[in-house]
Amino acid sequence: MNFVIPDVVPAIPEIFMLAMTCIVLLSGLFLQRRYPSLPYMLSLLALVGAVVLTVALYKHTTEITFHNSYIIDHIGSILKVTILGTCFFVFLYCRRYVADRNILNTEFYVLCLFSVLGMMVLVSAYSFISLYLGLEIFSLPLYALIALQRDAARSAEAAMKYFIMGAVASGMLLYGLSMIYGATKSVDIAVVSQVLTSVPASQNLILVFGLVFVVVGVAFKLGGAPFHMWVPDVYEGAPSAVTLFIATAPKIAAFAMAVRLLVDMMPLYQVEWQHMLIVVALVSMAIGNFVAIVQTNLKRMLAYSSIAHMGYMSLGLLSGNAQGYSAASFYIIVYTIMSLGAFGMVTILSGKGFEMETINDYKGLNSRNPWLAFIMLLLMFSMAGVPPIAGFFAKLGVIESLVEAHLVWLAVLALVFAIIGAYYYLRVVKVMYFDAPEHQSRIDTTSMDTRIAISANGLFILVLGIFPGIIFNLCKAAF
Amino acid sequence: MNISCYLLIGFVLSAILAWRRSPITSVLLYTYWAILLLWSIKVIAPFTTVPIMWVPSLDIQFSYHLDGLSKLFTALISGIGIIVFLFTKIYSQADPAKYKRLAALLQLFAVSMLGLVLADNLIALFVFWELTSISSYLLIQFNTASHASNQAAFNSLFISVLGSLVMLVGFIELHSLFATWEISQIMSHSMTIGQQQNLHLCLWLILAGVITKSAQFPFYFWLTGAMQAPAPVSAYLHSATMVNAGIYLLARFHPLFHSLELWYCALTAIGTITMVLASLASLFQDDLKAVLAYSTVFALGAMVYLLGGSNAVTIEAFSIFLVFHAIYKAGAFMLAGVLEKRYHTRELQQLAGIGRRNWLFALIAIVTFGAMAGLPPFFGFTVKEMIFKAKLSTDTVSYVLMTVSILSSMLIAAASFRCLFYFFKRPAAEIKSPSKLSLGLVSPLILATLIIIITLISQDMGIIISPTVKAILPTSTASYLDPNSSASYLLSLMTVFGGIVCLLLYILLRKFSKVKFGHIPLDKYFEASLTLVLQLGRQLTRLTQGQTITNHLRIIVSSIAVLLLATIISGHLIQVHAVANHQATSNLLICSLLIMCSLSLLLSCRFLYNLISLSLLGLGLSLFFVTKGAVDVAIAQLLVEVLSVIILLLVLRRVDLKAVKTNKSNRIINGVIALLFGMVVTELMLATRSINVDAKLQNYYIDNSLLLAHGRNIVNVILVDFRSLDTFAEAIVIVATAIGVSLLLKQVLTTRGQSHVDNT
Repeated sequence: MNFVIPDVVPAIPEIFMLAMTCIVLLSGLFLQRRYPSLPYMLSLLALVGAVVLTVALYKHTTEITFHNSYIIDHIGSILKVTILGTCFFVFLYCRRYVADRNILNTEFYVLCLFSVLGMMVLVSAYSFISLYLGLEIFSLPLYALIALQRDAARSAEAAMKYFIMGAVASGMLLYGLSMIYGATKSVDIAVVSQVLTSVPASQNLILVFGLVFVVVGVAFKLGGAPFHMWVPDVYEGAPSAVTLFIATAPKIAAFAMAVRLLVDMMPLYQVEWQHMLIVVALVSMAIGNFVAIVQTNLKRMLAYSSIAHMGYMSLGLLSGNAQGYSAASFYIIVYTIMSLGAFGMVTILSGKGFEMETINDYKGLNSRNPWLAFIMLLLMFSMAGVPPIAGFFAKLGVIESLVEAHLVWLAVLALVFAIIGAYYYLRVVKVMYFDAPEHQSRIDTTSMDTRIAISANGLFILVLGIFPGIIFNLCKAAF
Repeated sequence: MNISCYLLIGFVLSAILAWRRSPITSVLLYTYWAILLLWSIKVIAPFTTVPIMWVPSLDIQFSYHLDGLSKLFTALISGIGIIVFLFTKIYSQADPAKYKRLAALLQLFAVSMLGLVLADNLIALFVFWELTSISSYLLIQFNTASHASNQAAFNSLFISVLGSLVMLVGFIELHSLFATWEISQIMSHSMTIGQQQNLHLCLWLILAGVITKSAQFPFYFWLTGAMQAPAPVSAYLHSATMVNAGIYLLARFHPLFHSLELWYCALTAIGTITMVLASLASLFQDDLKAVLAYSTVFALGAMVYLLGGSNAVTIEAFSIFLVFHAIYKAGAFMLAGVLEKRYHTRELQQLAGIGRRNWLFALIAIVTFGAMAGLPPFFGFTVKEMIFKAKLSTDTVSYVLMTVSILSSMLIAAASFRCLFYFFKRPAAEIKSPSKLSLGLVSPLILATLIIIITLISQDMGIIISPTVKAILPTSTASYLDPNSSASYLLSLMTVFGGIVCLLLYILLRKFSKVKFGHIPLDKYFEASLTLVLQLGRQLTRLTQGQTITNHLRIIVSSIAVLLLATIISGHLIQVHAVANHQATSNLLICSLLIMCSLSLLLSCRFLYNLISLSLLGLGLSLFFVTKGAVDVAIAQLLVEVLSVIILLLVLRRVDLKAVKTNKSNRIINGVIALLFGMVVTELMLATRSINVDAKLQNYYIDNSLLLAHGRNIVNVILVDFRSLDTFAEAIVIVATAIGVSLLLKQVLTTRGQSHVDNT
């Protein structure tokens, strides 16, 4: 048996990430006493370095390595940079929150970095093995992260729920993958998609069954209904800093998984997964929007809104054309940036000893801190899809692809749900601008760097609305 | 200058107005709109219309469609805009901060409206459309303290955004039909039959946007609610802008859709219903602004009705009515605003006699309300005449429709007469005397003068509106028609007298009953349906939120089962394979044991019984394996069963078993879900039989395990020989984990021991 050393160049960002994560872990263990902020700085450095390496490796060709189990391509690079950038902002927002609450400092960063590493592997995975590996590397640290605030019963419950649900999801996905493996006798996504063209009709059923489980697993990880139950509990139960992380980067990783497994692997079964995704999208939009209306906790409301947004994103996927895929990736990127801002706001406004969690806490934010209120207004408008902010173009893209796929009824329904969605986003705006504040004090819990970060985040949404071409073209080139 | 830049300047100007107020900003504001007004009536031509790319990848750009139609709307927006700004300034002189906000918002709104009527790109148009919705929301809820205005503003925003989003789908459908966002290109496109059919869908979707924005039945309640806004806002929104956006869009798309049967039917039906209901409601209002609001709805209905037609006379009547209505309605609203400011009331009864006190009031009231009623000396009469003529000129004159529209015109005339009647009635009590002549009357006076001028030069109106008619109906050749048809003349006269008769009838009716006709509480229905949505949300929340993990799993498993079942039903027929049947009797015995165990598991509510059934089930399974000759699997199964029972019992020592009880209905649901899932999985198992397992590897191990590895137990050989490296690595992982765990445990135990010592 001869062993060929695979080309490791495409995986250099991941290798760098792994090395840096270990360094952060060690620095936290031995040097934190003397340099308290060293792990934080090193984590940021790791992310920046990984971004630089990913961008440097960005080519216009697709490259496959590690015995056909690892791919580096357009969409992968875009999503990786988004994941890394998101995590960078998460750390900026979280620093003070984590320090204030005696959450294990280094562990927080290390677990996040490991999770990011898993996401990067998942994004680049091109066989079932590497895909599952990535999925587990990214999921396991999340369970620990949620339970990081060990004395909070709410967090422990959320972690337990997430763990069980996550385990079920992984199981479903594995079950589905093994069925597909059974029918095609290969674990390589490229090979599977090749074999599928000549699969005998008698195995159709098992493939479709496998597909059902794959779709269920993907929907789980995305947090789409009816596999969404963990989302609100986890978002509300976890410390805001962790919620901020869970609500952003993993969505992109799950999206990448959906693209690899559905778009890359099973384009021939597009009709089948289209139907399943229609169900997921409709139920997600309905439950997400209707239930969000009555929420009083902002984190929980945003959780339901994320369910609804995942519904909208799947609309792009299910339309089954290149336009739809690029619209979906644009949607997921824009959603991640919006959700980063919204949860970031919750995190940075929460000061020592109090949380800004309920919607009532935001009463009169405009008079307490006009600039942050304005950023929040931008974010809420964008989530509601008000033109000309980025969220509008995200919705426009998926709706256009739906119409292209002759699913006009779905497009109309989606927009009717969007109206209901607009209701609760506007309620937040109304509370911020028209209600009298409960506390008169100005909000000054934020430090300079977080203020700059959140402003950049909110204004980026606006800029992206005025020039959506910046990212849209990248997404378009990827499919 | 590029017109995009000019629009941008408009938005910047709005920001400046919000920031500070000085004579310079006022001069800038008036210059801004004056340039536009002069441009739209072709006095100057300072603008270029080079499109500016916005999103090249989506073909979205700021491009402009400048024809008679958009010029006419520009003229209305800028002309009425200047007068409204003038009015605003005088109206809120008392409170400069408020004025700043009002002026800034009005400017924002006006520029959005301008963008809307100029844009050629559908997406750009949509963006401006949404901007008008948002800015009008801010305008209507200008008095933030008032609950009514908050509610009205919310209704208006909700309704118009709802419609606009549906309309957006229509735009996208148009784009997918014609592969362009540009209205001008869509218009010049020749259509295939297939596209013709898809056009119906587009029309339905776009109509949704139009009827919500232009306050048609059943959505007009937002407009009547919007009278909560300050007078300048009402004067602007109700006359030249906002509500006209839908009308503009209809006119814009007239060339594309007018050949469809649906176009005529839908517009006629919607227009007529709106006209009748609004005119009836208008007569029964006691609030002056409400009378005017309903009459606006009536006018919009009439415009929609007219646009349904497609001959030159109809379109001409539409254009003239549009202009004329904008002028007199703005005047009337300003008059109402001045009255409200002076007497702090809008009730007609309390305003009795104001026309006698002040000749200027009297003049403006007679001119504007006379125009609204269509009194003979004014141009309103001529307009009415033209409308009737247009209605008569259609190929298929429906006499029912004709009668209905004449009747509603009579009712509107009666409503205006009623207002005039109150203005000149002898007041019951002396009202507080207004101190001095209000400057606020300047603006309505200008409008009244304008009405008189138009009346004088009515023969030349054709020059003004002919480019518009040309834009809506490119093929029309007819020039401005002298409305001297005897039939329509008679009908218009009839309307005036009918109006007086209606008013008398109304007074008579009021003597006997207080019933208000024509008032449908649509806003109540709307709010009720909103409450319904909220209720639905609450119910759904109760169903899906805050549940135990068992419930979550139940939902998950059942949805997976349903998904699987759906795939089986949709096309993939159930494949039934004959199962080999060698040991029928023993199979039967074991199967019945298994079924019994599952049934008792399902039916029994006692936890211990359940445990016993569960372990019996495991036993049955291992028996099953034994009969199949898989003794090792059976042993493994048995061990697992025993182990799990032991662990469960260990855990259960700490649990109060009596408390662990589930209710019957839950059990039934669980049973159904289990049955469903079991069925689907059975089907799956049967399907797996069709897979041909590749026996290459299997045979390799069987052939070589003795030969190469000298072992008889193939499983062992695979573990320690063929895949020894894997096993080795696995062992390393386990050892490493064990070391880590033991270290952690040691630390935990020592710290706990220490704390224990501390406590004692």
